Amino acid sequence: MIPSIYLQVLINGILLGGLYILLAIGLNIVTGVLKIINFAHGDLVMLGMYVAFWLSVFFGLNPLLILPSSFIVLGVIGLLSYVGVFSFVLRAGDFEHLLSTIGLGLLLQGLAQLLWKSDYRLLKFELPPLLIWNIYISPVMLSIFTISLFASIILYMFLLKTRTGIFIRAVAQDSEMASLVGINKRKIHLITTMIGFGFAGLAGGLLMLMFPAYPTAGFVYGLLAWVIMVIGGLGSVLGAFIGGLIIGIIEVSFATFYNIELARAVAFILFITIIALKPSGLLGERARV
Amino acid sequence: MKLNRVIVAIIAIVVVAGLLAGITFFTQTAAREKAEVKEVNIKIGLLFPLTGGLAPLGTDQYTGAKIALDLINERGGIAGKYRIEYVTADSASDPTKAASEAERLITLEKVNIIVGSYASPLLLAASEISERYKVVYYEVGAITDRATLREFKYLLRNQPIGGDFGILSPVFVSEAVAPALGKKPSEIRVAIIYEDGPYGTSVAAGNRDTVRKLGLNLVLDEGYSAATTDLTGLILKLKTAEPDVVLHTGYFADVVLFIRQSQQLGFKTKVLIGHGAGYGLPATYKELGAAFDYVFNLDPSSPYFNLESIAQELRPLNVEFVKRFRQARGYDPGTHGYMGFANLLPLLTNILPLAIEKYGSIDADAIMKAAYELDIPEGGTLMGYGLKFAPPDSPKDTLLGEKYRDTKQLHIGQNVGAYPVVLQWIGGRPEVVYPDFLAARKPVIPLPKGHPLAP
Repeated sequence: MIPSIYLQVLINGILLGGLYILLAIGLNIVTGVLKIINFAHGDLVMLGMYVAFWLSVFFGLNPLLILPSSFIVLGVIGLLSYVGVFSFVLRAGDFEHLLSTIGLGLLLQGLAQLLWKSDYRLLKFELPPLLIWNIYISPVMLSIFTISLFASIILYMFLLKTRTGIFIRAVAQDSEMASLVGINKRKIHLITTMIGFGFAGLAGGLLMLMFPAYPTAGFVYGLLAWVIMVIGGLGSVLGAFIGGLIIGIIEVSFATFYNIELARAVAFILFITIIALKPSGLLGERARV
Repeated sequence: MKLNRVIVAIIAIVVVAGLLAGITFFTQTAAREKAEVKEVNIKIGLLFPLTGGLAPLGTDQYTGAKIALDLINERGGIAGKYRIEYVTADSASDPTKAASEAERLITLEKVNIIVGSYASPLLLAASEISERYKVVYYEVGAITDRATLREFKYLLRNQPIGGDFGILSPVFVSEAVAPALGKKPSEIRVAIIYEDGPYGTSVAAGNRDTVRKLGLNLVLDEGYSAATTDLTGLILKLKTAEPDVVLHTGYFADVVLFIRQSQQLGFKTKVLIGHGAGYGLPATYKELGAAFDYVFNLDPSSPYFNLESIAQELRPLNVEFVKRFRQARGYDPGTHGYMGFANLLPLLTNILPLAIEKYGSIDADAIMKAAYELDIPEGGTLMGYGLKFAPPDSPKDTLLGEKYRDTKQLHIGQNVGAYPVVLQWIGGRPEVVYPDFLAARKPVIPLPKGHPLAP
């Protein structure tokens, strides 16, 4: 029992990290490409949770089957947000970005409050735990991890191999230059926003498998996404991947061997340290994808 | 020269204002002495979290309080004569908002009494304001010890304190769980886990002291943030500590998360005891189903105790309340809805009538005087317990505190007759199982074979 606890902690840290990766990835590409500080990200995740919840309740479908629709609905909200908000403030300064995205977040929170009340919404998605070599593996967390990993790899390949993906990376690296060589910057911004929001929706849908949705649920997730993004590196998919795993493992191991209160604090200390020493994050400029 | 003129002007203004204030004061007192008691206008502000994270239970409690006010108004009002006007304010699950809403209720709405607050941080913040304005704050739900230890003059709480929740569960473990497991109390391994806000820490402090005092074996003692998104680490730590009994204090989302993740991670224990909030909620049962059966919960006794143990005349009120609550919320009232209703009733049926009839007024001092005079014996309130507020000149510890606390806590404005009871979820319904005289049935200990958390 005692030696296996280390393995148990590692596995759980990695599984939790998988969820965190997906949480950060949507924020990451929007920040990297649009250079916009999106404080509404957590609320987008919250919205994704509600989408998964209601679709699953209304159609009585398995929450896993709902996931693509969370992606699509949030993608459409990305479209609306770009047309309604981002396209206006993109040329303005950071301060305007900040205020407009905070406003967007509050709007979403208010809407959620109005439409669905403040009740906690939970989905019943229960699978019996897997016991392998005296190590308990939560099948729910395992599904979350697998889907998250799968989605991240698809995004990575999309950015690496497809024409649009290459355009997105070009705009991320140097938007002026990208425009000069004939890339339609606005179109790329729009596509990126839709993908980024879609991923927030997907993260929300996955969260819904285990955690409750309520109008202010996004706050913590938004914060976590920021920490992971900064640790891993702004605008880097690979960075989000590494940041997510680091935070997942740190949180679970500190909580198990020291104190759960300390666990989140350690994550934030790491966040501050990285901001101070390497503001671009672990994989900042070098491996930007 | 100019400065002098300014000073003179200021003095003149102050003097005139003072005179005016004096005159109004005298005329008002004179008017009050002459006034017929009939002109009593009672305005109550209901301050509960109706939005935000605490809203699900906050709204239950608010609904309970609202039903109490409506019922009394339908019967003609206070003492059958004075209708109550009430206004609703939303503390939005945020202490800052609770304080500003309390200020608005007092200064703009001119309420005589504020009734709140469901959650401890909201009570702490809002009552600071009411105390400053000398307006009575009547608490029906929040349990932090700290609230009534602040020596406030205008705070009344008809609700057991968190520390007593913390005392009762180890007493229950020592007196009922240990014999049922065939162990000595010193052989029982106990883990204390709690959300780290005022609510959880109050309860955990009581847990800790009493566990030590009764000689139980404390194997883990740890807090976590209620806003936490994941409890994996804490549960793995619990697995290595191997407790027989887990004493848990949490809200709702964290309680559901704890029990779900415990199942997923294969955490086993013989007895799980919660302390109110999520553990008392039908919604939690709905989420967890069988995994929530045989879990214990501490709450003020309503409504699942043996109805025979309360006064005859209160029983029809109970029936009416359940009916209306179901209409308003679509489900049966849980403990929180009940608190809003049953803890508020004595204010409307005992304190205010006494204030009006004996002191001819409902100003804050008259209400407080009337409140301190009351002494309702056990079984005389719909909560099962009695009612005796500890007055400022002789602050008192609670019944359980007197018996089990090493250092006395001196409360003012606390109903020292209030105490929680131990309930157990059986077949989706919580039943009172301890103390014996209120018990509707015997407790099932340990978690039966086949239960997801049973070893």
